[in-house]
Amino acid sequence: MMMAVDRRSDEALLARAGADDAAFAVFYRRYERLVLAFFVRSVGDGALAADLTAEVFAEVVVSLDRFDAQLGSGSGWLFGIARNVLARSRERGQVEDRARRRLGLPQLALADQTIERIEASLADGRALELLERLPAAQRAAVRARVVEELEYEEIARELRCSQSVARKRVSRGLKSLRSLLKEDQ
Amino acid sequence: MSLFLPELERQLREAIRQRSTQAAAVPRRERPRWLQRRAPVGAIALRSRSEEPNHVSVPAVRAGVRVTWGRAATVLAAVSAVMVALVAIALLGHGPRRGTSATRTVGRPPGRSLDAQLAHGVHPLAPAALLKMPILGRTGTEDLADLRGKVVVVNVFASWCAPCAAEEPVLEQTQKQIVGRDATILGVTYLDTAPDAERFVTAHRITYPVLRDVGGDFARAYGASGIPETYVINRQGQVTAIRRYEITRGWLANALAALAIATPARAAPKQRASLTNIEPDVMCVACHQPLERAHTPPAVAERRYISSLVAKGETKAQIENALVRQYGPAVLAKSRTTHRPR
Repeated sequence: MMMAVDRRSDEALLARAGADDAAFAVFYRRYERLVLAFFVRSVGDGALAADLTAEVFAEVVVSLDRFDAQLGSGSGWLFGIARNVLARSRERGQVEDRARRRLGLPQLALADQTIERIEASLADGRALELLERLPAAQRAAVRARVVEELEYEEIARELRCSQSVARKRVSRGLKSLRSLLKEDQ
Repeated sequence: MSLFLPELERQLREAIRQRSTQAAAVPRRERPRWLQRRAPVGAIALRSRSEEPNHVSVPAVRAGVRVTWGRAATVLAAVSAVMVALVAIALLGHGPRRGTSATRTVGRPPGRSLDAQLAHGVHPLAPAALLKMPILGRTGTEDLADLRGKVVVVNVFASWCAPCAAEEPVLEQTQKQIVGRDATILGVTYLDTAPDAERFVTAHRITYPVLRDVGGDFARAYGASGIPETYVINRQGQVTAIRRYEITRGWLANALAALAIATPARAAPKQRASLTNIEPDVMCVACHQPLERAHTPPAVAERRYISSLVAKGETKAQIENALVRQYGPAVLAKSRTTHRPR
Protein backbone atom coordinates (compact mmCIF):
# COMPACT_ATOMS: atom_id res chain seq x y z
CA MET A 1 0.00 0.00 0.00
CA MET A 2 1.37 3.36 -0.93
CA MET A 3 1.59 5.76 2.00
CA ALA A 4 -0.03 9.14 1.44
CA VAL A 5 2.49 11.95 1.15
CA ASP A 6 2.14 14.59 3.83
CA ARG A 7 2.53 17.96 2.13
CA ARG A 8 2.82 20.03 5.28
CA SER A 9 6.03 22.01 5.67
CA ASP A 10 8.52 21.15 8.42
CA GLU A 11 7.59 24.37 10.16
CA ALA A 12 3.88 23.56 10.11
CA LEU A 13 4.61 20.09 11.47
CA LEU A 14 6.76 21.46 14.31
CA ALA A 15 4.07 24.00 15.18
CA ARG A 16 1.57 21.15 15.57
CA ALA A 17 3.90 18.53 17.02
CA GLY A 18 3.52 19.44 20.69
CA ALA A 19 -0.17 18.62 20.62
CA ASP A 20 -0.23 16.13 17.78
CA ASP A 21 2.14 13.18 17.92
CA ALA A 22 1.17 12.21 14.36
CA ALA A 23 2.56 15.54 13.10
CA PHE A 24 5.77 14.83 15.00
CA ALA A 25 5.92 11.35 13.47
CA VAL A 26 5.83 12.85 9.96
CA PHE A 27 8.69 15.19 10.86
CA TYR A 28 10.61 12.33 12.48
CA ARG A 29 10.20 10.12 9.40
CA ARG A 30 11.41 12.92 7.16
CA TYR A 31 14.61 13.45 9.09
CA GLU A 32 15.53 10.24 10.90
CA ARG A 33 17.77 9.09 8.07
CA LEU A 34 19.39 12.49 7.58
CA VAL A 35 20.20 12.94 11.26
CA LEU A 36 21.54 9.39 11.51
CA ALA A 37 23.66 10.02 8.42
CA PHE A 38 25.01 13.22 9.92
CA PHE A 39 26.12 11.34 13.03
CA VAL A 40 27.44 8.28 11.20
CA ARG A 41 29.72 10.58 9.30
CA SER A 42 30.67 12.53 12.41
CA VAL A 43 31.41 9.64 14.76
CA GLY A 44 31.76 6.67 12.37
CA ASP A 45 29.82 4.30 14.58
CA GLY A 46 26.23 3.14 14.03
CA ALA A 47 25.37 2.53 17.69
CA LEU A 48 26.74 5.88 18.78
CA ALA A 49 24.95 7.59 15.90
CA ALA A 50 21.65 6.01 16.96
CA ASP A 51 22.21 7.12 20.55
CA LEU A 52 22.94 10.70 19.48
CA THR A 53 19.95 10.69 17.13
CA ALA A 54 17.67 9.60 19.97
CA GLU A 55 18.91 12.51 22.10
CA VAL A 56 18.43 14.99 19.24
CA PHE A 57 14.80 14.06 18.64
CA ALA A 58 14.14 14.01 22.38
CA GLU A 59 15.61 17.53 22.54
CA VAL A 60 13.29 18.50 19.67
CA VAL A 61 10.29 17.32 21.70
CA VAL A 62 11.50 19.13 24.83
CA SER A 63 12.20 22.36 22.92
CA LEU A 64 9.18 22.50 20.63
CA ASP A 65 7.92 25.64 22.33
CA ARG A 66 11.16 27.41 21.44
CA PHE A 67 10.91 26.84 17.71
CA ASP A 68 9.96 29.96 15.79
CA ALA A 69 9.39 29.39 12.09
CA GLN A 70 10.02 33.07 11.38
CA LEU A 71 13.57 32.83 12.68
CA GLY A 72 14.67 29.92 10.53
CA SER A 73 13.73 26.67 8.86
CA GLY A 74 12.74 23.52 10.71
CA SER A 75 15.63 21.56 9.23
CA GLY A 76 18.13 24.28 10.19
CA TRP A 77 16.83 24.22 13.74
CA LEU A 78 17.00 20.42 13.86
CA PHE A 79 20.59 20.31 12.65
CA GLY A 80 21.50 23.14 15.03
CA ILE A 81 20.32 20.88 17.86
CA ALA A 82 22.25 17.97 16.33
CA ARG A 83 25.48 19.99 16.23
CA ASN A 84 24.99 21.10 19.82
CA VAL A 85 24.28 17.59 21.06
CA LEU A 86 27.40 16.37 19.26
CA ALA A 87 29.56 19.18 20.65
CA ARG A 88 28.34 18.68 24.21
CA SER A 89 28.72 14.93 23.99
CA ARG A 90 32.29 15.31 22.73
CA GLU A 91 33.04 17.76 25.50
CA ARG A 92 31.78 15.38 28.16
CA GLY A 93 33.16 12.25 26.60
CA GLN A 94 29.78 10.54 26.63
CA VAL A 95 26.52 10.84 24.77
CA GLU A 96 24.28 13.39 26.38
CA ASP A 97 20.94 12.05 27.65
CA ARG A 98 19.50 15.10 29.39
CA ALA A 99 16.45 15.43 27.12
CA ARG A 100 15.70 11.71 27.23
CA ARG A 101 15.88 11.72 31.03
CA ARG A 102 13.58 14.71 31.08
CA LEU A 103 11.07 12.84 28.96
CA GLY A 104 11.59 9.64 30.94
CA LEU A 105 12.50 7.64 27.85
CA PRO A 106 13.88 4.16 28.43
CA GLN A 107 17.24 3.10 26.98
CA LEU A 108 16.95 2.36 23.28
CA ALA A 109 17.59 -1.34 22.61
CA LEU A 110 19.52 -1.79 19.38
CA ALA A 111 19.89 -5.12 17.59
CA ASP A 112 23.19 -5.80 15.85
CA GLN A 113 21.37 -5.97 12.54
CA THR A 114 19.98 -2.47 13.07
CA ILE A 115 23.45 -1.09 13.75
CA GLU A 116 24.86 -2.86 10.69
CA ARG A 117 21.98 -1.54 8.58
CA ILE A 118 22.60 2.00 9.78
CA GLU A 119 26.29 1.82 9.00
CA ALA A 120 25.79 0.12 5.62
CA SER A 121 22.96 2.34 4.44
CA LEU A 122 24.36 5.62 5.60
CA ALA A 123 27.98 5.25 4.59
CA ASP A 124 27.25 7.98 2.04
CA GLY A 125 26.19 10.25 4.88
CA ARG A 126 28.10 13.21 3.51
CA ALA A 127 25.85 13.32 0.46
CA LEU A 128 22.79 13.46 2.69
CA GLU A 129 24.37 16.19 4.77
CA LEU A 130 25.22 18.19 1.67
CA LEU A 131 21.61 17.87 0.60
CA GLU A 132 20.85 20.61 3.10
CA ARG A 133 22.94 23.04 1.07
CA LEU A 134 20.81 22.72 -2.07
CA PRO A 135 18.17 25.30 -2.96
CA ALA A 136 14.82 24.47 -1.35
CA ALA A 137 13.10 23.27 -4.55
CA GLN A 138 15.95 20.97 -5.55
CA ARG A 139 16.39 19.72 -1.98
CA ALA A 140 12.72 18.74 -1.72
CA ALA A 141 12.84 16.97 -5.08
CA VAL A 142 16.07 15.05 -4.35
CA ARG A 143 14.89 14.13 -0.88
CA ALA A 144 11.57 12.84 -2.23
CA ARG A 145 13.25 10.80 -4.96
CA VAL A 146 16.42 9.52 -3.32
CA VAL A 147 15.67 9.45 0.39
CA GLU A 148 11.94 8.78 0.40
CA GLU A 149 12.12 6.76 -2.83
CA LEU A 150 8.93 8.22 -4.29
CA GLU A 151 7.83 7.89 -7.91
CA TYR A 152 8.00 11.02 -10.07
CA GLU A 153 4.21 11.08 -10.22
CA GLU A 154 4.03 11.35 -6.43
CA ILE A 155 6.88 13.88 -6.31
CA ALA A 156 5.10 16.05 -8.85
CA ARG A 157 1.92 15.91 -6.77
CA GLU A 158 3.79 16.70 -3.57
CA LEU A 159 5.73 19.60 -5.07
CA ARG A 160 2.76 20.77 -7.14
CA CYS A 161 4.62 20.78 -10.39
CA SER A 162 4.68 18.74 -13.56
CA GLN A 163 6.57 15.46 -13.73
CA SER A 164 9.08 16.92 -16.16
CA VAL A 165 9.81 19.79 -13.77
CA ALA A 166 10.20 17.30 -10.92
CA ARG A 167 12.64 15.26 -13.02
CA LYS A 168 14.59 18.39 -13.90
CA ARG A 169 14.83 19.43 -10.25
CA VAL A 170 16.05 16.00 -9.21
CA SER A 171 18.59 15.98 -12.01
CA ARG A 172 19.89 19.46 -11.22
CA GLY A 173 19.92 18.71 -7.52
CA LEU A 174 22.00 15.57 -8.03
CA LYS A 175 24.37 17.45 -10.30
CA SER A 176 24.82 20.14 -7.63
CA LEU A 177 25.35 17.44 -5.02
CA ARG A 178 28.12 15.88 -7.11
CA SER A 179 29.85 19.26 -7.40
CA LEU A 180 29.53 19.82 -3.66
CA LEU A 181 30.99 16.40 -2.98
CA LYS A 182 33.92 17.15 -5.28
CA GLU A 183 34.54 20.48 -3.52
CA ASP A 184 34.38 18.69 -0.23
CA GLN A 185 37.05 16.13 -1.12
CA MET B 1 10.78 3.46 3.26
CA SER B 2 11.24 1.74 6.61
CA LEU B 3 12.58 3.48 9.67
CA PHE B 4 15.90 2.62 11.26
CA LEU B 5 14.67 3.34 14.77
CA PRO B 6 10.90 2.71 14.87
CA GLU B 7 11.07 2.13 18.62
CA LEU B 8 12.41 5.65 19.11
CA GLU B 9 9.55 7.09 17.10
CA ARG B 10 7.08 5.15 19.25
CA GLN B 11 8.69 6.31 22.50
CA LEU B 12 8.72 9.95 21.41
CA ARG B 13 5.10 9.88 20.25
CA GLU B 14 4.12 8.38 23.59
CA ALA B 15 6.06 11.14 25.39
CA ILE B 16 4.25 13.82 23.36
CA ARG B 17 0.88 12.26 24.16
CA GLN B 18 1.72 12.23 27.86
CA ARG B 19 2.93 15.83 27.84
CA SER B 20 -0.14 17.09 26.00
CA THR B 21 -2.41 15.20 28.42
CA GLN B 22 -0.58 16.75 31.38
CA ALA B 23 -0.73 20.17 29.75
CA ALA B 24 -4.48 19.88 29.29
CA ALA B 25 -4.90 18.87 32.93
CA VAL B 26 -3.03 21.89 34.36
CA PRO B 27 -4.62 25.37 34.18
CA ARG B 28 -2.66 27.50 31.73
CA ARG B 29 -1.44 30.17 34.16
CA GLU B 30 -0.12 27.51 36.51
CA ARG B 31 1.72 25.50 33.90
CA PRO B 32 5.45 25.09 34.33
CA ARG B 33 7.46 26.51 31.46
CA TRP B 34 8.03 23.19 29.78
CA LEU B 35 4.30 22.67 29.47
CA GLN B 36 3.62 26.01 27.87
CA ARG B 37 2.96 25.98 24.16
CA ARG B 38 3.43 28.97 22.00
CA ALA B 39 0.53 30.14 19.92
CA PRO B 40 0.18 28.36 16.59
CA VAL B 41 1.70 29.97 13.54
CA GLY B 42 -0.79 32.29 11.94
CA ALA B 43 -2.33 33.40 15.21
CA ILE B 44 -1.60 36.68 16.89
CA ALA B 45 1.81 38.20 17.52
CA LEU B 46 4.26 35.51 16.83
CA ARG B 47 7.09 37.74 15.77
CA SER B 48 10.21 38.43 17.67
CA ARG B 49 10.32 42.08 18.61
CA SER B 50 13.60 42.24 16.77
CA GLU B 51 11.77 43.74 13.84
CA GLU B 52 10.00 46.47 15.75
CA PRO B 53 11.64 47.11 19.07
CA ASN B 54 10.72 49.88 21.48
CA HIS B 55 7.32 49.63 20.01
CA VAL B 56 4.60 47.28 20.96
CA SER B 57 2.09 47.14 18.24
CA VAL B 58 -1.03 45.16 17.57
CA PRO B 59 0.21 42.59 15.10
CA ALA B 60 -3.22 41.05 14.59
CA VAL B 61 -4.53 44.30 13.16
CA ARG B 62 -1.42 45.04 11.15
CA ALA B 63 -1.36 41.55 9.68
CA GLY B 64 -4.97 41.89 8.64
CA VAL B 65 -6.15 39.15 11.00
CA ARG B 66 -9.73 39.56 12.05
CA VAL B 67 -9.80 40.55 15.69
CA THR B 68 -12.33 38.69 17.77
CA TRP B 69 -13.28 39.89 21.25
CA GLY B 70 -11.07 37.22 22.77
CA ARG B 71 -8.13 38.30 20.66
CA ALA B 72 -8.89 41.95 21.27
CA ALA B 73 -8.80 41.28 24.99
CA THR B 74 -5.42 39.57 24.62
CA VAL B 75 -4.07 42.43 22.59
CA LEU B 76 -5.40 45.03 25.03
CA ALA B 77 -3.82 43.10 27.89
CA ALA B 78 -0.49 43.07 26.06
CA VAL B 79 -0.70 46.79 25.33
CA SER B 80 -1.60 47.50 28.96
CA ALA B 81 1.29 45.37 30.16
CA VAL B 82 3.69 47.28 28.00
CA MET B 83 2.29 50.65 29.08
CA VAL B 84 2.86 49.57 32.68
CA ALA B 85 6.32 48.42 31.65
CA LEU B 86 7.18 51.75 30.07
CA VAL B 87 5.99 53.64 33.15
CA ALA B 88 7.98 51.27 35.34
CA ILE B 89 11.09 51.81 33.22
CA ALA B 90 10.65 55.57 33.42
CA LEU B 91 10.25 55.43 37.20
CA LEU B 92 13.19 53.10 37.65
CA GLY B 93 15.53 55.30 35.68
CA HIS B 94 15.95 53.23 32.54
CA GLY B 95 17.14 49.78 33.19
CA PRO B 96 18.58 47.61 35.85
CA ARG B 97 20.50 49.19 38.68
CA ARG B 98 22.44 47.95 41.59
CA GLY B 99 20.30 47.01 44.51
CA THR B 100 17.34 46.07 42.36
CA SER B 101 16.34 42.56 41.53
CA ALA B 102 18.52 41.08 38.85
CA THR B 103 15.71 39.08 37.37
CA ARG B 104 12.82 41.48 37.66
CA THR B 105 10.91 41.62 34.42
CA VAL B 106 8.61 44.22 32.98
CA GLY B 107 5.02 43.23 32.50
CA ARG B 108 6.05 39.63 32.71
CA PRO B 109 3.05 37.35 32.93
CA PRO B 110 3.54 34.62 35.53
CA GLY B 111 5.60 31.69 34.35
CA ARG B 112 6.25 33.05 30.86
CA SER B 113 9.60 32.32 29.21
CA LEU B 114 11.62 35.10 27.61
CA ASP B 115 10.74 33.71 24.20
CA ALA B 116 7.02 33.72 24.96
CA GLN B 117 7.17 37.30 26.21
CA LEU B 118 9.00 38.47 23.11
CA ALA B 119 6.50 36.61 20.97
CA HIS B 120 3.77 38.57 22.69
CA GLY B 121 5.46 41.90 22.22
CA VAL B 122 6.77 42.27 25.77
CA HIS B 123 10.41 43.24 26.22
CA PRO B 124 11.47 41.85 29.59
CA LEU B 125 14.34 43.38 31.51
CA ALA B 126 17.51 41.43 30.88
CA PRO B 127 17.83 38.62 33.43
CA ALA B 128 21.00 38.31 35.51
CA ALA B 129 21.93 41.92 34.78
CA LEU B 130 23.66 42.16 38.16
CA LEU B 131 25.42 38.83 37.98
CA LYS B 132 29.12 39.57 38.32
CA MET B 133 31.25 37.50 35.96
CA PRO B 134 35.04 37.36 35.67
CA ILE B 135 36.49 39.26 32.71
CA LEU B 136 38.39 36.97 30.35
CA GLY B 137 42.04 37.87 29.98
CA ARG B 138 42.37 40.17 32.97
CA THR B 139 41.42 40.45 36.60
CA GLY B 140 38.14 41.91 37.74
CA THR B 141 34.48 41.26 37.22
CA GLU B 142 31.75 42.95 35.26
CA ASP B 143 28.02 42.62 34.81
CA LEU B 144 25.45 43.71 32.26
CA ALA B 145 24.44 46.68 34.37
CA ASP B 146 27.93 48.11 33.83
CA LEU B 147 26.98 48.53 30.17
CA ARG B 148 23.79 50.42 30.98
CA GLY B 149 22.89 52.92 28.27
CA LYS B 150 24.45 50.85 25.50
CA VAL B 151 22.87 48.42 23.09
CA VAL B 152 24.44 45.08 24.01
CA VAL B 153 24.47 41.95 21.88
CA VAL B 154 25.21 39.13 24.30
CA ASN B 155 26.66 36.07 22.61
CA VAL B 156 26.94 32.94 24.72
CA PHE B 157 29.62 30.65 23.31
CA ALA B 158 32.29 28.10 24.15
CA SER B 159 35.61 27.24 22.61
CA TRP B 160 34.49 23.64 22.03
CA CYS B 161 31.40 24.65 20.08
CA ALA B 162 31.74 24.45 16.29
CA PRO B 163 28.68 26.59 15.43
CA CYS B 164 30.06 29.25 17.81
CA ALA B 165 33.27 29.38 15.79
CA ALA B 166 31.26 29.58 12.58
CA GLU B 167 29.38 32.70 13.65
CA GLU B 168 32.40 34.54 15.09
CA PRO B 169 33.32 36.43 11.89
CA VAL B 170 29.84 37.95 11.76
CA LEU B 171 30.06 39.04 15.39
CA GLU B 172 33.54 40.49 15.09
CA GLN B 173 32.71 42.36 11.91
CA THR B 174 29.55 43.73 13.51
CA GLN B 175 31.53 44.83 16.55
CA LYS B 176 33.82 46.91 14.37
CA GLN B 177 30.79 48.57 12.84
CA ILE B 178 28.91 49.36 16.04
CA VAL B 179 31.61 49.94 18.63
CA GLY B 180 31.66 53.73 18.29
CA ARG B 181 27.90 54.03 18.43
CA ASP B 182 27.06 53.19 22.02
CA ALA B 183 26.69 49.54 21.19
CA THR B 184 28.83 46.48 21.71
CA ILE B 185 28.96 42.75 21.37
CA LEU B 186 29.54 41.05 24.72
CA GLY B 187 30.86 37.51 24.62
CA VAL B 188 29.95 35.22 27.50
CA THR B 189 31.77 31.90 27.66
CA TYR B 190 29.68 28.97 28.78
CA LEU B 191 31.25 26.29 30.97
CA ASP B 192 34.64 26.85 29.42
CA THR B 193 38.12 26.97 30.87
CA ALA B 194 39.89 30.34 30.77
CA PRO B 195 42.90 29.09 28.72
CA ASP B 196 40.64 27.45 26.11
CA ALA B 197 38.46 30.54 25.89
CA GLU B 198 41.54 32.77 25.55
CA ARG B 199 42.88 30.60 22.74
CA PHE B 200 39.50 30.87 21.01
CA VAL B 201 39.50 34.66 21.41
CA THR B 202 43.03 34.91 20.00
CA ALA B 203 42.35 32.54 17.13
CA HIS B 204 39.26 34.47 16.06
CA ARG B 205 40.83 37.90 16.74
CA ILE B 206 37.91 38.87 18.95
CA THR B 207 38.09 42.50 20.04
CA TYR B 208 34.86 42.77 22.04
CA PRO B 209 34.77 42.17 25.79
CA VAL B 210 34.29 38.62 27.00
CA LEU B 211 33.02 37.53 30.41
CA ARG B 212 33.11 34.03 31.85
CA ASP B 213 29.89 32.35 32.94
CA VAL B 214 31.77 29.93 35.10
CA GLY B 215 28.86 28.03 36.65
CA GLY B 216 26.40 28.47 33.80
CA ASP B 217 24.10 30.70 35.94
CA PHE B 218 23.94 33.46 33.34
CA ALA B 219 22.94 31.11 30.51
CA ARG B 220 20.40 29.40 32.76
CA ALA B 221 18.78 32.75 33.62
CA TYR B 222 18.05 33.18 29.91
CA GLY B 223 16.67 29.66 29.59
CA ALA B 224 19.53 28.57 27.35
CA SER B 225 19.18 25.00 26.16
CA GLY B 226 22.32 24.95 24.04
CA ILE B 227 24.90 27.20 22.52
CA PRO B 228 25.46 29.42 20.72
CA GLU B 229 22.70 31.73 21.86
CA THR B 230 22.47 35.46 21.27
CA TYR B 231 20.40 38.07 23.10
CA VAL B 232 19.96 41.66 21.97
CA ILE B 233 19.47 44.13 24.81
CA ASN B 234 18.40 47.72 24.20
CA ARG B 235 19.61 50.86 25.96
CA GLN B 236 16.91 50.48 28.59
CA GLY B 237 18.22 47.06 29.54
CA GLN B 238 15.37 45.15 27.91
CA VAL B 239 15.74 42.02 25.83
CA THR B 240 14.44 42.76 22.33
CA ALA B 241 15.51 39.69 20.38
CA ILE B 242 16.74 36.19 21.09
CA ARG B 243 18.40 33.68 18.83
CA ARG B 244 18.55 30.16 20.24
CA TYR B 245 21.01 28.89 17.68
CA GLU B 246 23.64 30.17 15.26
CA ILE B 247 23.05 33.73 14.13
CA THR B 248 23.03 34.96 10.57
CA ARG B 249 24.30 38.32 9.38
CA GLY B 250 20.77 39.24 8.33
CA TRP B 251 19.22 38.42 11.68
CA LEU B 252 21.78 40.45 13.60
CA ALA B 253 21.55 43.38 11.19
CA ASN B 254 17.75 43.40 11.52
CA ALA B 255 17.87 43.17 15.29
CA LEU B 256 20.31 46.09 15.48
CA ALA B 257 18.59 48.14 12.79
CA ALA B 258 15.44 47.86 14.83
CA LEU B 259 17.32 49.64 17.62
CA ALA B 260 18.48 52.34 15.21
CA ILE B 261 21.95 50.79 14.88
CA ALA B 262 22.38 50.33 11.16
CA THR B 263 25.14 48.06 9.95
CA PRO B 264 26.48 47.78 6.43
CA ALA B 265 24.97 44.30 6.34
CA ARG B 266 21.79 46.09 5.28
CA ALA B 267 23.62 48.23 2.76
CA ALA B 268 24.56 47.11 -0.72
CA PRO B 269 27.00 44.20 -0.75
CA LYS B 270 30.64 45.08 -1.22
CA GLN B 271 31.74 44.90 -4.85
CA ARG B 272 33.95 41.91 -5.48
CA ALA B 273 37.39 42.84 -6.77
CA SER B 274 38.47 41.58 -10.16
CA LEU B 275 41.35 42.20 -12.53
CA THR B 276 38.93 43.91 -14.93
CA ASN B 277 37.70 46.50 -12.46
CA ILE B 278 41.17 47.20 -11.07
CA GLU B 279 43.13 47.52 -14.33
CA PRO B 280 41.73 50.94 -15.35
CA ASP B 281 43.00 52.45 -12.08
CA VAL B 282 46.48 50.99 -12.29
CA MET B 283 49.44 52.07 -14.43
CA CYS B 284 52.19 50.00 -15.94
CA VAL B 285 55.32 50.98 -14.01
CA ALA B 286 57.48 50.53 -17.14
CA CYS B 287 55.56 52.28 -19.93
CA HIS B 288 53.36 54.50 -17.70
CA GLN B 289 50.25 53.54 -19.66
CA PRO B 290 47.07 52.34 -17.99
CA LEU B 291 47.51 48.67 -17.26
CA GLU B 292 44.56 47.69 -19.43
CA ARG B 293 46.47 48.97 -22.48
CA ALA B 294 50.00 47.98 -21.48
CA HIS B 295 51.76 44.89 -22.83
CA THR B 296 55.25 45.14 -21.34
CA PRO B 297 56.68 42.27 -19.23
CA PRO B 298 56.31 44.37 -16.02
CA ALA B 299 52.63 44.93 -16.94
CA VAL B 300 52.19 41.16 -17.24
CA ALA B 301 53.86 40.74 -13.84
CA GLU B 302 51.56 43.39 -12.34
CA ARG B 303 48.49 41.62 -13.73
CA ARG B 304 49.72 38.33 -12.31
CA TYR B 305 50.26 39.95 -8.92
CA ILE B 306 46.77 41.51 -8.97
CA SER B 307 45.19 38.18 -9.95
CA SER B 308 46.91 36.43 -7.05
CA LEU B 309 45.48 39.01 -4.62
CA VAL B 310 42.00 38.72 -6.15
CA ALA B 311 42.22 34.96 -5.69
CA LYS B 312 42.96 35.53 -2.00
CA GLY B 313 39.66 37.40 -1.72
CA GLU B 314 41.18 40.82 -1.04
CA THR B 315 39.14 43.94 -1.74
CA LYS B 316 39.97 46.54 -4.36
CA ALA B 317 41.25 48.93 -1.70
CA GLN B 318 43.48 46.24 -0.17
CA ILE B 319 44.87 45.35 -3.57
CA GLU B 320 45.62 48.98 -4.40
CA ASN B 321 47.43 49.37 -1.07
CA ALA B 322 49.45 46.26 -1.81
CA LEU B 323 50.36 47.60 -5.27
CA VAL B 324 51.54 50.87 -3.74
CA ARG B 325 53.70 48.94 -1.26
CA GLN B 326 55.11 46.83 -4.06
CA TYR B 327 55.64 49.42 -6.81
CA GLY B 328 55.27 52.83 -5.18
CA PRO B 329 52.47 55.43 -5.40
CA ALA B 330 52.96 56.01 -9.14
CA VAL B 331 51.39 52.65 -9.85
CA LEU B 332 47.94 54.08 -9.21
CA ALA B 333 46.35 56.08 -12.01
CA LYS B 334 44.50 58.24 -9.54
CA SER B 335 47.68 59.11 -7.69
CA ARG B 336 49.10 60.47 -10.97
CA THR B 337 45.93 62.43 -11.51
CA THR B 338 46.10 63.82 -8.02
CA HIS B 339 49.65 64.97 -8.41
CA ARG B 340 49.34 66.17 -11.95
CA PRO B 341 50.18 69.89 -12.04
CA ARG B 342 47.26 72.06 -13.07
